[in-house]
Amino acid sequence: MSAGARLLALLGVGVLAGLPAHALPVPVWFALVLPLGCAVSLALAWRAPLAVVARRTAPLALLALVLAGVHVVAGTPLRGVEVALDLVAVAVVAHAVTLSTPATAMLDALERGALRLGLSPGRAWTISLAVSLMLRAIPVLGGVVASAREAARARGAERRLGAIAGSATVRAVGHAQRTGEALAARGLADQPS
Amino acid sequence: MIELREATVRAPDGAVLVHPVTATLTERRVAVVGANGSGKSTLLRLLNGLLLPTSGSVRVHGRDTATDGPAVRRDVGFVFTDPEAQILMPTPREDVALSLRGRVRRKADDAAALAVLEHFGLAAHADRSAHGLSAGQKQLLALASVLATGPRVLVCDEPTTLLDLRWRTHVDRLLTGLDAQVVTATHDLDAARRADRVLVVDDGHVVHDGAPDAGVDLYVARMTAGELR
Repeated sequence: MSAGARLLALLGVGVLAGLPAHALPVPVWFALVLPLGCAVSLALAWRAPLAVVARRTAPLALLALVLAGVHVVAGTPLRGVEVALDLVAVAVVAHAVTLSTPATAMLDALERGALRLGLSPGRAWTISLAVSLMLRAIPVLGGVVASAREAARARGAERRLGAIAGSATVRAVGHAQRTGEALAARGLADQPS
Repeated sequence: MIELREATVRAPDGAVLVHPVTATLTERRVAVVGANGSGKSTLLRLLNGLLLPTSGSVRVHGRDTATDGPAVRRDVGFVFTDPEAQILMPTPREDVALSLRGRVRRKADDAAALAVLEHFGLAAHADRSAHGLSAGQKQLLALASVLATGPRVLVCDEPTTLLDLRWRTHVDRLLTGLDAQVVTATHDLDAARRADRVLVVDDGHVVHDGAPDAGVDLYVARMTAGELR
């Protein structure tokens, strides 16, 4: 399957995950597991290393669990399950794409798609680079959550979810800033149109 | 040629990080030395527009970093201290290919990326995880990826600080052999002495701008006397 088709499949799972489970013409339990089922099936079809996908998804799955807990406390447990499963589904398929598709092939596919939409070459390059880096950032963000947990554990604060979330957010923003600077350091951030 | 005219940097709270600097850097090898937190990195970041002066101006080959930033950044490569912050793609081949692609505006050329990696002695690691390389190899990759964009000026912010002696010597030798103008912030005083010109920075002031030996001697004297802030 081409890089473009894989990105379209990623988009498809994202759209499916974004639809409310009760709006689909299937039983609710089926609608709940459908995005994750599709994501795992695609990962298998693309021969993405499942152990690596699972390891990289784990930190986000933890966050999804926390979100589900919030929904349970708020009295909307079904919505909590849906949000958690949808998040995990999108993470699984995103990891499957990045693990099975060369970054340059992804960039080419995104740029071709943007050009077909009528964007100027400069804009198409910028958009393809941004989307490609965003997809590449997903495993980094998983690592960011893991290292924020490690740092909290080192101080005996592993149960303080607010502190972990705060630290993870600061690290994630730091990563985004460093990525921007790394692009500027090579003169890639602002290509002429 | 890099021209700084009364270039000043202030923090949002008004504190002066770099006091007005006026200098024209035409030498091929310029070293910037100073204590940690003296303002070396801030000064370097002015040179490719990663940071803009709050007053005054910085021009590279006649282009102002404030008004012509994108063109300046395409002309001035920047190498960070920590190569982890510089590597954008999962493998060395893809990381260099990204630079080549941005430079020539065409489909990434795998063979060209491999040729660049070969030049830097990294061809054997082309398809391995970039983040699994040793610190020295990562810094080489960061350097290769920046140089693949073909900059006329290379700014390096302590590129050898995290490296052992073997890699430090290797990277230093590579930088010395480049055709591009190289401005390097360094704590390696031997390397600074080999430069054509040395700037000593102390508490945001350029306290020496000229001959390397005199600059390094001044820096050592002030450091050992505890004068540098």
